[in-house]
Amino acid sequence: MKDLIYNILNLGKAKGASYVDVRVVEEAVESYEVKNGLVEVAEWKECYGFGIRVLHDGAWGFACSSSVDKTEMEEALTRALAIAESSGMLRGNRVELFPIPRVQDYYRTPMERDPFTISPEKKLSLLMKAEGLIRGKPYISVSQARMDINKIRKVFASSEDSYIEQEIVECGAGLVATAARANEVQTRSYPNSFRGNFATGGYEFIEGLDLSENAEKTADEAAQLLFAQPCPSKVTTLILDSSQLALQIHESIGHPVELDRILGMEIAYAGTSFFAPEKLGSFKCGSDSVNVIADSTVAGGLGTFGYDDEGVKAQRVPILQNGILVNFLTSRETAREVGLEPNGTMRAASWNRIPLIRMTNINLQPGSWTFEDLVADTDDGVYMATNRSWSIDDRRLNFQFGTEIAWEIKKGKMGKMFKNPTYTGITPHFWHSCDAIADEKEWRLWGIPNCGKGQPGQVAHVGHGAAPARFRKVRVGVMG
Amino acid sequence: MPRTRLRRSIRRETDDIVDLMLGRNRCKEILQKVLGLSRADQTEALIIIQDISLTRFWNSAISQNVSEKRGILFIRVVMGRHVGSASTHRFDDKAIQRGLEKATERARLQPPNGSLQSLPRSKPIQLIRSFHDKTARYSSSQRAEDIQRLIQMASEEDLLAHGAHCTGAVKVGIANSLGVDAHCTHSGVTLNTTMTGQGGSGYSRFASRTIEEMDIRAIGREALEMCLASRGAGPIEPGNYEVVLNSYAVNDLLVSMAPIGLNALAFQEGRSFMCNQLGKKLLGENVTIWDNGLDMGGFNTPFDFEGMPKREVTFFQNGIAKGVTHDSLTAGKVGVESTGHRSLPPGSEGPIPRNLFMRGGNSSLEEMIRSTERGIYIHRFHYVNVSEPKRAIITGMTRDGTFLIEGGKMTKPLKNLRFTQSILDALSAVSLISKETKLVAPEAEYEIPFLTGSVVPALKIENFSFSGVSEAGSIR
Repeated sequence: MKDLIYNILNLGKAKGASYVDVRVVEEAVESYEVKNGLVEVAEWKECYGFGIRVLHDGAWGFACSSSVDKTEMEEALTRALAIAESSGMLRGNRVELFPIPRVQDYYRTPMERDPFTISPEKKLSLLMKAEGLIRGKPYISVSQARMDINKIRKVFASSEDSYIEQEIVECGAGLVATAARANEVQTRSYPNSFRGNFATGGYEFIEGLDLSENAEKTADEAAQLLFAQPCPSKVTTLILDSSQLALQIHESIGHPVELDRILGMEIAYAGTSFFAPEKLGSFKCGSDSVNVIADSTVAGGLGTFGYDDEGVKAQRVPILQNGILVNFLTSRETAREVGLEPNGTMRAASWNRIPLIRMTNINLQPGSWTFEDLVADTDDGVYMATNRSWSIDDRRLNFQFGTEIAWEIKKGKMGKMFKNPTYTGITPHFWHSCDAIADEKEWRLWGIPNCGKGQPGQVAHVGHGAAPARFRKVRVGVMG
Repeated sequence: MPRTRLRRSIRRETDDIVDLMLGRNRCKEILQKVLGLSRADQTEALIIIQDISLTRFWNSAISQNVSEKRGILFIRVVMGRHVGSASTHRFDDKAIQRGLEKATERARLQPPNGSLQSLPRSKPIQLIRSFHDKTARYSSSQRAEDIQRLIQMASEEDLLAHGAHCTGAVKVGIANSLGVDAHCTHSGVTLNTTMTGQGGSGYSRFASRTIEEMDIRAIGREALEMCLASRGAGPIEPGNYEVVLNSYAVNDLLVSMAPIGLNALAFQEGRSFMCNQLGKKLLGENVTIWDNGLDMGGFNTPFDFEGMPKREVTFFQNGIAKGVTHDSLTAGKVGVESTGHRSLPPGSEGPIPRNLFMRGGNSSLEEMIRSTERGIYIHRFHYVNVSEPKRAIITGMTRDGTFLIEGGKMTKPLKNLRFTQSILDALSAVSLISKETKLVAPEAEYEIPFLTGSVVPALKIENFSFSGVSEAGSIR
């Protein structure tokens, strides 16, 4: 493989490219889903291919193929160079890359037990047991248990003499209980919606989710929601559980601090950002309690790795300090444009996509409250848990989220359950209204396996750490 | 054209794509190899080959420019009534053997169940024309020339152009041990552009099987005029308004309904708003919505991802709920025939309709605006998501062209609004429908391009609920 890659790097330089990088990616995937007592999905996938990125006369070209051999790679290089030439027909500023050190390294996800060494029987048995505890409970119409396991082996090599091999292992699992009665349908998920929770790590993560121990509670809550009152429509105090807060961070902090969005590169599709380079160091977009760190080194994070797809080392970077914007997520190209350093966030969904600026693990630092004190200190409010829907405008300002479940908080105590809860707000106002965050004991890392961006579309796996937090004067119960 | 001549003509064209990774014969060879090597009771092999290129532009310059050649082989095996599946990007004998072993192993380890009756048996596939050689071969320099024309138009008005231009071809081949043997090659082109400047933004989107239908000037003009008109947008109080929705916005209403209500899996699981409603009036009498993969007006495709012929399925006939789409699995459960809507493997999201049509009316956008005393014109929506599936309530934002209509005229541009609205209620209050319809395809494909698109008119709706305004108050 090394010979094939170096052939392309040398050939690319010889043909006039100022920069060439090659990524060869091999991915193995196992997915299992048990639904209503039947095995709905038992799937094995392998993905294999390469991508070549060239910079020629200050313009980018990229070509890729799933046939990994010398002829196809040379043909793809020719395509990439021709494409770069076409890009040059309408070039903006000449692309300049921030210089980075040469790296020759190997990284592997730390883990106790490689999930690919666990037999399919054992994995299915774990799911069957948990799903069986949901099935047959009152009002349950659909019971589901799901597990996904990925192993990504990738080689990154560049004409700047970097050669990095990585083996990243991700896994996750979750439960869904759907309850139905008359014309009403309600769903509860455990530990999170969208297929559960995910991490980089071994099978010990899946076992640690305790699916079976939580199955009956999940089913019971789905059934109870059928009889719950709708979330009232009012302005009140809102406490979010850590999984919903993870998505709030994702949409209203994570995406807005991507420097390509800020510079406008995504304007025609996903949109831009309310942040701007000149706001760095001065724009206070949250209360003093709000401290956010982009951390691709944290153990177990779904956005944890050794190096990004430009060869920049994983790192821990403050983004918001006491609510003040102090950094962005950057690439070698965008960092140079605004006078910052690249912070290792350029990732491609696979061999067939170019790297884009993607979230790593964007974590809200814990506060000092116990969850019990947070509730006890709230006279009147709503506690919402587990995301059900999300939407935010093209500058990441006006958002609206729905959650699976909520509870009333009255005089410091959790009260009745509400169904169909929603809340809405404007991003900086919302984060300014954050007056309390629970402590480290409540802090949890959530893996989001479905972050979309780019044209053609790319799905990234990212992480968010959060503890439950309280927000004042939030509009809840948005009516249609 | 007579059927035999059409068949010869289609084959000649598709065999001639030198750029695609596998010719028809090689594709068939691989499918037959999978079936031949398999020891399962029933076996299915699906190959998808794509040769796609996409150029993104931003600030009136090309910013990203990519080309992808990808082949993927999906294998599904049935042992008794158990199913296992595997996929690979490798087509050599060893990879095929490994894929079969993995799929078979997964089928064997399952407990007895009755989820699958059988893989489907072969059915006649209608010949369609969905491939255009010139479109499949469109080069990066040709895309750059198209983009240059948009940039030129924008620059003449001191605006910037941004967007993405995608061209290429996709080959799909499928065979199973019960006789299914279906092949088709599609070409396609999509282009979306946003023009910005002077505080305004405008948008246009185009999709077709053939580049010959692309009118760059018309695409540019739509985005440009919308941008110029939207300068200096002001706020409006949220609330209920009469609205005029362009086709882009109407597409979002239809596409949102597909996964939550219009497919048999959601219906059989009791999640669909169509449950217990078939034969009842759910939408306005003037609303008819169906799916038809064979219609040349859309991104037509003759069969689904298990080789079953596409059939037209009517969801709403004059507002009355009529039916949902099926794959062989959901169809087998209720003893009906598949409608040809199996999704990409593993297909666990159900038979989602992807070629939606809404019947046009007799009106026009101009007439809709002229007949509105006070209302809001919406060019497109942004980030639409389902809030309450059973009531088909969605939320999202307006974008790139929102205007107040007063006295039959668009009087002033508005800041983007958030809506929270039941689609069923909205489509029960349609007062005018445009005669003209438009093919609207997704802006960013995550899997296989040129297979999904809706053909939709513009609508005037009497009552639409806005729940918020963007940038309400200061953000500093």
